[in-house]
Amino acid sequence: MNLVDLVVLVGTLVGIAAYGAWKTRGNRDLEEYFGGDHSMRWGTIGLSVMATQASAVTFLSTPGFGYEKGMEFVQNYLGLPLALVIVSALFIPVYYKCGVYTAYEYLERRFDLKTRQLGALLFLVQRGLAAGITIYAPAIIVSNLVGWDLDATILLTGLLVVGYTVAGGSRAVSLTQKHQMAVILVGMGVAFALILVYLSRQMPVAQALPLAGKLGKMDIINFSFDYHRRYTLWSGLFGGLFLSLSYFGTDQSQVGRYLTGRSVTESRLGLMFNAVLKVPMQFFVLLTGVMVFLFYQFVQPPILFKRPALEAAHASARAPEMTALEERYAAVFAEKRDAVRALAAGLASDDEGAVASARAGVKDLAARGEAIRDEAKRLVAEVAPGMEAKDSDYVFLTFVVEHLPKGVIGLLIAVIFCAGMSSTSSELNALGSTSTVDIYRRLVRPRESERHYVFVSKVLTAFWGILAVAFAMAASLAENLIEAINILGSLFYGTILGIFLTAFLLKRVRGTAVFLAALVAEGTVITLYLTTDIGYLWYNLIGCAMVLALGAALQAILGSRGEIDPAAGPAAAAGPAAAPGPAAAPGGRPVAPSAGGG
Amino acid sequence: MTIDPEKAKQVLDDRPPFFRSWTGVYAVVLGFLAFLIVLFRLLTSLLA
Repeated sequence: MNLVDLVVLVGTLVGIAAYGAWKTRGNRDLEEYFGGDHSMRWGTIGLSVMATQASAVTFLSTPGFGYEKGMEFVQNYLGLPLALVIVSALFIPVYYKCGVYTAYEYLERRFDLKTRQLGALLFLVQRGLAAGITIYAPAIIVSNLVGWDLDATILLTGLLVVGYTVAGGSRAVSLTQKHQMAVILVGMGVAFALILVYLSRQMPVAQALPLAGKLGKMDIINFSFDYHRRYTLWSGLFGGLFLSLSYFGTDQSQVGRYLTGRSVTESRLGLMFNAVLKVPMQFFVLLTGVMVFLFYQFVQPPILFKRPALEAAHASARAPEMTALEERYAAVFAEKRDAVRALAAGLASDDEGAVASARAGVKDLAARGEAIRDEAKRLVAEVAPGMEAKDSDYVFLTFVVEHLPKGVIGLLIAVIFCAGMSSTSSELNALGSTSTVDIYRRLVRPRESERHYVFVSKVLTAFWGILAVAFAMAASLAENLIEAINILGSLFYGTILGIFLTAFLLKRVRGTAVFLAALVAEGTVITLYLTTDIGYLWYNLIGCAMVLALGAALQAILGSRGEIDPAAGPAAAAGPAAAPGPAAAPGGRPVAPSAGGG
Repeated sequence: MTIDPEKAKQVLDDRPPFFRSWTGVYAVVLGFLAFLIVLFRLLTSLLA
């Protein structure tokens, strides 16, 4: 990497971090440290929520997906606006009226202490491990492509994010995310514009989308009811709704973002900002991948994008085999490029016969090229096990490093790290707030001063940060670990969402019933995971449905004997429409007088 | 800790800008989602 790129990269990352830490120095109490003093406007909340969700993997894997499979992945996000409307209408007013710092505090008001602790514990386990991966994922890919030392990359970016998150708390997270998101949007916009400029040297840009369509990359929406297809309108709407509801409604890394709002209105507008912009943004990121695909129809790509894998093969005794594969791949590519040019010419002249003929030729040559790539991957798997996986994650950054001008490379690598740091800072802040508010203040030292709790919050946030950095440095198989963390999330998300939906929707169900239901559901999900090969996304549905059904059944059996609803009176039992009154949640922040039901 | 009722009222304020109620905002958001789905379907058909 040259000096210009390095200055842009380091200047962007350190500048934003230093600004965030400096602007938010000197937090006095938990209200300020975890609630951001409730000073955020909807724009900041909206960008913060967006930045929390958009991790580095979003800007590495999503264009890679577009390159490899086209636009169909956008369907996965169609349930998100629905979920955000539900969270806005149902969850936000309840959280505000209860005056909570964390989502799990509400569970004590609605159910009891043990249910709150269960929710908090499930979150801490799942998110504690995920934080390590959000630091590790960009570091491994960037260090592989740019040639940096992996441990040094993890350590530097990890400590930077831990530093400003610990120093400035929730407000620092929001402020830095606003600027990080601006860098991300500008960087991706510049990259997209440059791809179009490069493409225009090969073909008229107006032909880009029709050509991508003819090459099978523009199947955006599919109405099929075939459940074997991973991405359809229906799986996106219903599966996406389910996952997003769980993530935005119950995951403290998101709840903590929108609870920094100045008012219910600001928080709701922040979520609606995402409900409107998220799908177009994902469409645009995927389209960037499709445009990179088109670019590589005219400029030969490497046989494998994962450079260390290729280097490992060339350094082995089987290097001549890899060289031979590369020569065959180059020959097929040259033929395919001619066929693609013929296809583009056919589209320009509106010659259907020429289009059909050229399209068939391209399809055949593309299959031959893929077969050679598969041989190369097998060779890598044999000479360097573990190196062969997830080549598509390297597509976008390979394009950036090999084809974009100086300065822009630094900007785009800054985009990747900004995305990683913005997600990590939210996670660390959420882990710190949950372990301080739901564990330390509630169970260990309930009557200390605000200053004491702020100090403990900083210590615990730093603890989670150091743990995440250590975990990232100990990790060795990036792709497998990322999948493992996704599986881990799905193992817990369903149960957590089930507890919250029971709280909101099943007014008669109380603490013991939902707690037992959650334990049984979690045990069942883990047993299913260990003994069957059900796709892991289904665990979300199974866990949630089991908590709802078992909770209702157990409550019917238990009746109302012997259990006092801790939610302070009939208002809480009546559900969110008549949420609790002015009393503070046990261990919670001072509560505003309820405008609704109190 | 004393709670300022005026501040509490401001925090719990939930009137959306430009609309009489949140229902209108949600209708616009979901309408936009429906528009995107139709647009994507149209692009899929046209570019196939």
